Amino acid sequence: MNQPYTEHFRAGTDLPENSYTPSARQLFLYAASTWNAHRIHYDYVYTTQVEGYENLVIQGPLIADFFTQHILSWLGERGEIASFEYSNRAISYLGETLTASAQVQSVDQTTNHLHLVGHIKNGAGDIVLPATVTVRLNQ
Amino acid sequence: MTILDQKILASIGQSEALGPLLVQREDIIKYSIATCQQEQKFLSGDEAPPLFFMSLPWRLDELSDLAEDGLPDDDLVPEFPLDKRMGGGMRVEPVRPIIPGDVLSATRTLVDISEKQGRSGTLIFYEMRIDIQDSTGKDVMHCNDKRIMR
Repeated sequence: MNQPYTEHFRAGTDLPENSYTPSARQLFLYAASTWNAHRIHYDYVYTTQVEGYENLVIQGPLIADFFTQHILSWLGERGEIASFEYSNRAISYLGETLTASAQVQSVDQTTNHLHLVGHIKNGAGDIVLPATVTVRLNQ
Repeated sequence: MTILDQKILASIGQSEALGPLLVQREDIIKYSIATCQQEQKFLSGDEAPPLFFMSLPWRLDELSDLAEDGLPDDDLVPEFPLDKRMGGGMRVEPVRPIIPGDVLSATRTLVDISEKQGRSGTLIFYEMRIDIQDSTGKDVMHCNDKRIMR
């Protein structure tokens, strides 16, 4: 008899960390692909002088996408994201390196789901995006 | 003292239908490049990354419709006494991956407005529920998008 696929996963397992340093070109391409003209992502003078930010702001959903990539690069073809929740806790600026980490919190053998908790930190070690993910495992 | 009056709160529950939109392989590829995806199925456009739906062009506003901050007015969102907009976070439930050729429609509903005292003053939070379906009426994605005004 085959083992349930969930037997391959253990609560408490840390995923390998991944780091992301988006460039100005990436902020522009992301803004263009999402048809988002919010000036805080490409207009330095407006961003610093009118909105009062330190530098161009990295899009929150782009940081969230990095987190999904962090999960999917570890998961591979073993499953897919069933739900994903994040909040923007702090502003991240162009030039910052963002590091994603996550841990398997629980393994549900009944539903064949994994629950993970994680975050993205900036270079100063502050959490800028806490997140939780539920993964639906392939049978 | 609240800065949310009854006129603002009466907007809760307003909704609009969006689409239908045809998902093009090239749009998935553009999104995948812009987000530096690593998986070949995303880079080839065979399947969309989970947050690709953020790039679907539900609304294509004219330049003249963009406010000074570069964002268009949102017909579902009432006029708030605060004018700086920020993303607050999101809950996303993909039911199935989006693929090229999908014809998608969505319903967007303003489900909540609240206020809170932040370190730099009052903040207004509002939340949109977005439900995406395919051309057969089957669910593709559910999303709750939280925004902040400061």
